Amino acid sequence: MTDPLMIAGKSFASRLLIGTGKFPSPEVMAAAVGASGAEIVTVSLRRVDAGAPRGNILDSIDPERYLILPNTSGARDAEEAIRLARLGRAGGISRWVKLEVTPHPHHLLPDATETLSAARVLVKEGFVVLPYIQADPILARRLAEAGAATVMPLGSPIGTNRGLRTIDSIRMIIEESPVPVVVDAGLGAPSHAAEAMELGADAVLVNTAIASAEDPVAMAEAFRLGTEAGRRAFLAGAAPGRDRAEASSPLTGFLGES
Amino acid sequence: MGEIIVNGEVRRIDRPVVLSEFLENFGVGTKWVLVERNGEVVFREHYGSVTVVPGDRLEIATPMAGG
Repeated sequence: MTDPLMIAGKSFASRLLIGTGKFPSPEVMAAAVGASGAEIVTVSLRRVDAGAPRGNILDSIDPERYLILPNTSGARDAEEAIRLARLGRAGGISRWVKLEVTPHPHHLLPDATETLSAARVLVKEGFVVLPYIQADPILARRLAEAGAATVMPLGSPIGTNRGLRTIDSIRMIIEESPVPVVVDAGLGAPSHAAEAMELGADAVLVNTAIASAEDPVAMAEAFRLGTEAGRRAFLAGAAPGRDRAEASSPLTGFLGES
Repeated sequence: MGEIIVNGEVRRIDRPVVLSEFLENFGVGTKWVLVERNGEVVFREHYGSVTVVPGDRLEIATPMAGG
């Protein structure tokens, strides 16, 4: 594997992580996950009702093939997030956890202090913690110091498809972060994923933009290509921007010169 | 025999029952099912040995779609 993504000592060929929410059907979701090339797939943990249909999302996404990343969505504080993480591990889902603490359903922005305190507890308990955060370079640093396996700054609020509204802060996080930076949330088009990767993000996480597309499977592939294109461009080293035009063709030897 | 609370709702049990059997009777089975009993997570390996008794409070969860 050339240029692998390394998280907590595990290597991945794909730099696109995918969420499983909002797909029109489990079949479309499974096909989109396949087309995305993703190796890390997020799920939520929720109460299951008596007599609920036996079909489970993990019957559609083979946990032998994908790294299942349970999230702590729904948690409003550190305690609730820790509880969900422990539940996922005890039940045999994973010791990896996408840590998200979002107290306000209106904007779903992450609570920095609760996220940091939950991360400290979970790291001590042996979890691989991938925290979803505001694009705050200081917080990112604190989480890395606390032992988080990645930081996952948001491009724009969850589900908004607005792209990298936080680009300047994300650039700072990328420059300084000792752990992989996964841009999560708000990436609405493959060009947004490419932009994040061109900046030097290590990976991106996408859900809504794929799941809510007219053709989620085709969009999953488009995001795979956008992510790969951005990564290759980053590795290739972009030429600097200029204020003035600079001709690409020679400026001598024009016809009719005297 | 007595009442337990499952996912916030009161249910009756006739006798103490092994958790794995309770989950089968509850209709969710044990595969991909996560359990908290009286505020403590139950490890999957213990589903066959933990007994549900009156007064217990269970949370039963499972992975679902989500980002």
